[in-house]
Amino acid sequence: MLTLERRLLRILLAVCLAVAGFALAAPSHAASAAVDVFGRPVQSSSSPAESAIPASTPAASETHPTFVLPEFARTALATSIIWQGKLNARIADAAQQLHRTSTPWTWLALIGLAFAYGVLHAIGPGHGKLVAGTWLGSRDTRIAQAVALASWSAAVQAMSAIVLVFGAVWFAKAGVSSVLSNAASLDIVSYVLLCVAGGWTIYSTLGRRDCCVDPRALKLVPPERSRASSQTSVHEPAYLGTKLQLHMRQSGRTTRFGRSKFSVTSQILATGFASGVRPCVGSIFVLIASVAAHAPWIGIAATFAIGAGVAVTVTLFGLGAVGANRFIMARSVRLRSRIEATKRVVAVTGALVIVLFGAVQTALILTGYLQPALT
Amino acid sequence: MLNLSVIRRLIGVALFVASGVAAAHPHVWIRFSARVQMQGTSVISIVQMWRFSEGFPVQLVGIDTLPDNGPLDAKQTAIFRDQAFSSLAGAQYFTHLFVDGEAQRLGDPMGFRVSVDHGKLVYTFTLALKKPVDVSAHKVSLGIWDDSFFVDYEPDGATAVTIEGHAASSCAAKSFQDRAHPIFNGIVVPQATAISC
Repeated sequence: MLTLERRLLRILLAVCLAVAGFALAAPSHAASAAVDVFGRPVQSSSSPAESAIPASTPAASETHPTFVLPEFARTALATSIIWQGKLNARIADAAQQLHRTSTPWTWLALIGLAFAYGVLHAIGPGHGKLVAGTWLGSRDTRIAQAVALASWSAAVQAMSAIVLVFGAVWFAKAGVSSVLSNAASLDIVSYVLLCVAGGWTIYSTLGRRDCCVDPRALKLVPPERSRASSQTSVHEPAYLGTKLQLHMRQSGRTTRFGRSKFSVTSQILATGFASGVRPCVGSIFVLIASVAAHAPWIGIAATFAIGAGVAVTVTLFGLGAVGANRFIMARSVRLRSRIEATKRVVAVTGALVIVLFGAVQTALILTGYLQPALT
Repeated sequence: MLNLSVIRRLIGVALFVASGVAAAHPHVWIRFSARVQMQGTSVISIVQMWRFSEGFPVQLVGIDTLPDNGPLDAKQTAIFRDQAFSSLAGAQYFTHLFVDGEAQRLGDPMGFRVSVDHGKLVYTFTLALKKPVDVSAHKVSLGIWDDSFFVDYEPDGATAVTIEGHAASSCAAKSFQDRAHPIFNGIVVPQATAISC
């Protein structure tokens, strides 16, 4: 186990060095974060992504993946996309209606539409679900932790959009026309923070601060001794050594669980913030429209409603990952025999996946082989 | 079971996942129609109309308000061209014309106009082919889609792509699912139109 941890730490160190190396070499090749209103990156002439496409080869930009999702999956996704489009249009209508007549019904209509839009929008692939699913699926987490991670990430995403739009309206000379480019700039910030969050998870897991000391799963003191301990009074005669031993164990367990709770909470906060710092374009659009209509509070309400919808979908996705983890752990006899070590290895591997995801995306963007994207 | 080879495989999977662009899309919805201008059995140009959904915030292009209905004036049209149209040149205005499976380069857009129709923003423009393509001698298909899927293009009605001009009477347009060009990491198969004579 010790050898494995050392190797994982070496891998993590190598990843960090690689990212740092790319960051140092990046300025001459870095992809521009500027995007147009269609979300398309405004490429610089020196970008490798562009220079790699010969002007005389029209088919060069027409390369496509050879695999296609199964029909039922594409049908479901296509249906959600069509409904997203309808809801997106209706949100604009509802915002205008609310601006004209503010009634509980018009407020409810806007919030409901925005919430439904958020639910559907999060069905598509996104790095938030990838990160949340990886973190939750690689450890023995509780349902409350899945809800907390999804909700925190969605809240950060909503607040990021609000700060970005209102910051542009109040402080930027270019006004809201620069908002999408600024949002795309946060793409790389998100990936770097994911590296940090994943690194913190690995550090705290290897330091045995979390992950494998779930009070539900492990009982450090057998029930008989635990009962005996609770029934033992200070006035009750007992051997000094036995009482001292029990008290020390209780104290150690309390400290350990306390430290574990803090560590898991800090991991959720870090991971959720990193994955949510890049705002959703749908929220940005609603906010811009509401600011233009001189009704910013409508946009803010709709943005948080979209965030709530996103949180619901991501939570369901996360619960699927939690369930998968529990299913595999409960049925693998070989793993159960080494439950604590296995949990730790899986947790570290999951965190390592998050670090690698952030590191690879960061490196590709910094070297210009990938353009910052909007979600 | 959980030895280094397993971890190596997991890392491989992670790199595979990381190499793809993971993004929740689309954000802009456009209904399109295209009129394929033909001369005999040759395609000459494509006249397109894009109808945006109401949710598209025009403030992003630097325009605060639009007329309720009708065409925009020259000044506002120029702003739209600069801020929300010319940048699509690299993407060939999302127009994919395949001749025997090979993508064709199109000319610069002509007659770009912007109007508002029942509250919806509408683009109209014409893309000429660099040289006419004889449909009778080649397999030709036309599709309008955004590879990144930031924009979702949907045909505006069952006959969104039609043949016009002085086309031979035998020419026809038939829509199909273009499985040869899936987008969005294979999640979406765009709709295209086969043009034959």
